[in-house]
Amino acid sequence: MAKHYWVFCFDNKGLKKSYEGDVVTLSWEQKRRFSGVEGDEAIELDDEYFVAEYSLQKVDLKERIDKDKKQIWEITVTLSLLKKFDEAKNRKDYLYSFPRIKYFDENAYRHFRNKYYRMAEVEFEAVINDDIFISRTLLGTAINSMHIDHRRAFVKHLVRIYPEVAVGKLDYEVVAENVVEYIKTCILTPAICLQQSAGILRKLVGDDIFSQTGFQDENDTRNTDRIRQQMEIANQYVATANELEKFIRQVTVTTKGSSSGQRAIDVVTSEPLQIDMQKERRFDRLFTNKYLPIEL
Amino acid sequence: MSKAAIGYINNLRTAIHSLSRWETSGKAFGYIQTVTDDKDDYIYEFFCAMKVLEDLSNNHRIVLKRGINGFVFPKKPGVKRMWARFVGYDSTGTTEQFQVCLGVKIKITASPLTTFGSDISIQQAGTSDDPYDSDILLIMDAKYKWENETVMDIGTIREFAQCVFDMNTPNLVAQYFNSPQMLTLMRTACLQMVSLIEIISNTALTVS
Repeated sequence: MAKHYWVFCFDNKGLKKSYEGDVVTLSWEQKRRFSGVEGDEAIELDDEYFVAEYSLQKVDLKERIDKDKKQIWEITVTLSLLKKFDEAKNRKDYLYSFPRIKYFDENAYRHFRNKYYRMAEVEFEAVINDDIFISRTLLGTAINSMHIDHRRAFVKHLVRIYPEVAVGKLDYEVVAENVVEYIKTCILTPAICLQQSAGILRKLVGDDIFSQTGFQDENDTRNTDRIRQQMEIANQYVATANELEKFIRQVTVTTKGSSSGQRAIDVVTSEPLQIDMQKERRFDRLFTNKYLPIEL
Repeated sequence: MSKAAIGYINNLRTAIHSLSRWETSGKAFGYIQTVTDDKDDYIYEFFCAMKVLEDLSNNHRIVLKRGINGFVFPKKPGVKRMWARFVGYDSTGTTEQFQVCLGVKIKITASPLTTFGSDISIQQAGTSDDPYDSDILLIMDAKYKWENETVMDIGTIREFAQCVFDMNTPNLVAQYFNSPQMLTLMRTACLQMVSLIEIISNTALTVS
């Protein structure tokens, strides 16, 4: 029988845990059977971090009828530690490699409320070996890192150019080009404008007054958006964000080369962020008909 | 390698997250065209104003005066007394010659209940906190475009032309301005408004 892969959310209050050396016993009750068997593999998720890999040593299922005459399963799973990860792995880095995820930003926690989840092998390996779905992670991260107002404006812009996205078509190449264009036009260029404006303003008014300058909404005069602080943000991050185009262009190149995978790999190996098409394609089947990864 | 990819993507996440919002209030930073087609382009307007002031500062002493809200500029046109404005003096700094206001509502004499919010207005020396069209020397409109090649639509140009007409500009007093470049800019503005808009829009990103 094919091996199954699981994630156990160790911080779930419904899971009882007992430890004995490298062996952890988890027990809980539920209405459904648990389909895990000896030899399956599992990952421990604790709060927001994947911390260790285990194998399922033993699975005990006991059936009983509760006072409402409903069937209840008492489940005990014994996990044997295979490897503690050198560093805890933040789940946000892996979200775009899991097809069931629909919320990627502040609501991502909603997907991890249950005691356990089943995973496909390729998802499991994404966590264990950091073999994430790079193209989707790169695009999704670029989109969902933007302020929510920008995400809404971006979707409006994208739908105008690529209306198919509204009905669930997802051409990574088209999205990649538009993400780059949007971020350059609507975030990076304004940041550069502000940097340059701040330089002129500082020369005109001196350092002391410059520190007091800012912008306000007429109907919200309690919050002043300070020009100096924003200039410092621009100084710190414009160069990194500028690299976006270079890396997202690889998504484009890689996608274009997908009918001849080897060529695509050759094209991108000279770049600092390598995308291995053969590994990327393992995710194809899992992500068929998946919508644009954006949280609105 | 994949570990490196995760590290790189995390750097990108931090950069875009930080750049896309104001550090102080957490509100969105940048150019935003909302679903209602309302545009948020005060940063670009401010940039255009700074380029004009930088040029003026070659021949004038420029001083920033606080409004009721301090040394603060409005995101959308507002009442003049609330907001900071620049005052231009002669080169010795003794005689006030003009004011440069960003996003200030200007009353129209023929219809005093109607105001016009100008992105950039250059007003006569001593103009009160309640400016009328007759106080205005020059108005400028900054239009942020997705691409330099985008042609401005005729409706936008006509709308601005009507505003210029309403303001009864040019109320030009050449001696107010000693800067030859500024004079050229103003003449261009008055005679060829369209070109001015295009010049400002197109030069924005090439100026370093």
